[in-house]
This record gives sequence, C-alpha cells and structure tokens, in this order.
Amino acid sequence: MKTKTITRLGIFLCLGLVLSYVESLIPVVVAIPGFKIGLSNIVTMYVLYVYDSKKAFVIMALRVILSGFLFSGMSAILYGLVGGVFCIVVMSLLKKTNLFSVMAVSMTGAVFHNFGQLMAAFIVMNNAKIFMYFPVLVLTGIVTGLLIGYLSGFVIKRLENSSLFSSKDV
Amino acid sequence: MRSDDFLKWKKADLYIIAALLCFAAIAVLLVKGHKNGDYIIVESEEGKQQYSLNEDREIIIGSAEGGHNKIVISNGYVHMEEADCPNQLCVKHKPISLDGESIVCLPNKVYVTVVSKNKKETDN
Repeated sequence: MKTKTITRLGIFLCLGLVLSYVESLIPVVVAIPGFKIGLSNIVTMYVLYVYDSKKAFVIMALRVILSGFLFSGMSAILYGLVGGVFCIVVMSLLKKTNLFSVMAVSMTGAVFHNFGQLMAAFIVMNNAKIFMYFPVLVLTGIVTGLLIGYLSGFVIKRLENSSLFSSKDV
Repeated sequence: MRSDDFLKWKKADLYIIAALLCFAAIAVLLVKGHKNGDYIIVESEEGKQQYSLNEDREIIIGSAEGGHNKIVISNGYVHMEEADCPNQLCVKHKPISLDGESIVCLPNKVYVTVVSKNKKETDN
C-alpha cells in the first residue's frame, strides 16, 4: 500500500474515533438499548466508497477496538465488531450491485448493524427474547441510516473535488 | 467523477426498505404473543425463578459484582422499580404484562420475561 494511502487511512481512523467519542457525549434521548446515531459510520461509508470494502472493514474493526480501550469499554467491542461485520458485508454487497443509492446502503447497513448486535447479545445471553427490540431498532436504523447516508454522500461527493483528498489518487 | 445523481434516490431503494420493514414485522410476530401472561421468569446470576403475575410482590436481585435490581409485580404488571446500572433503560421501560414481553438489564445480566401457562418456554 502506498504511504499516502496508509497515512490517509490513519487520519480516517482517528476521525472515526473522534466522532465516536463526540457521540458518546450526546445524552441518549431514546430509551432503547443499542440506539446510537452512528456518526463514525460516515467515515466507514467514505472508506467503503472511495477505497474498498476490505479497507472499510479494517478501519471499522480498528476503530471499534480502539474506542473500546479508550472509552466505550471492552464488552462493547464484541457487539461493535459483530454488528460491524454484518453491516459491512451487507453494505458492500448492495454497493456492488450499483442499484442502490448511498442512503439506502447506509440505511440497510444501520439495520444490519443493529441486527448483528442483537445476535451477539443473543449468543451472550442465550435468550431469544432480546429480539423483541429488533422492530424498533429497524425503524431507528432506517432513520439514522438515512441521516448518515446523506451526510456520507455529501462528504464523498464534496471531497472528490478537493485537491487534498481527490479520489482519483487515493 | 461521481455523477450528479450520486445523492438521488434509486428505484431499488424502495424494495430494500420494504424488505427491511418486513424483516421487522416477522421479528415481532415470532417473539410476541398478545395474551396476558400468567407468570414471570427472572433469570440472573442467582439462577432462574418463576413468580406468579397474580400476586403482588417485590423481588430483589443482587449480583457478585455489586449489581442491584428491584423487580416489582403489581396489578398483573411487572416492572423494574430500581437498578444500579448506568443506563437505567430497564427502569425506564414501561410495565409489561403480555406473554412474550420482557425487560432486561444487560449490565447486571438480569432478564425478566412474561410467560403464559399454555406455552412452552422458548429459550435454550
């Protein structure tokens, strides 16, 4: 990998961590376990669209692990990783078809991220009742995914024209 | 160069969103019943216990790491009266009474589920 690529990915990783931290400062308005706006997914989406799904996965995994060490706690890492895997697999599949908009990819990613977290919780707790939260999490995933999708699309499109982060020369 | 249509909706989006909503609907149907429950099952580090919903009572759960939960059954409903977990989501949950509904306190690993007499337990 080119040095330039490594450096940039490092910057995006840090950006994702900062967004993750900022998000943890926002008081949770909604009383549902696992609810979050997912600001750091803007970075994930950017890396997915400008680079590839492998890099997006690595940046996501590193961010989850590091944020676990830094602020969200070690047990959060498990749920974050499982959710992240489900999310990236689904998003890269949808992106490959070229049939869906950024918003739809993000929305589906958000829903599957939540689903992945529920699966992890199910395995830890061995209680299928955890899936009762799923319908609500689908709705919140659709809403937050839409917001993050728009923001990501905006960032991807705008940075494309900037000399500093031109996607022609990642 | 991304086309100017990069931020626009596409036709297939409708289908995927519909699919997600169906996914959610299926999950609801699979897990929840609409009958009033007869008793609750409380699972925690102290083990698994059954209590009738028809008898008002208070159940206190203490865990090895110092976790503390107070479950209250009253008027056929059960709710988490208090807990020492940081997020308090279990306490904020509205009282439940229907077969299949549950309140969980993930940090303290306490799970309260409503079950009705006729149904077999679905866990494990």
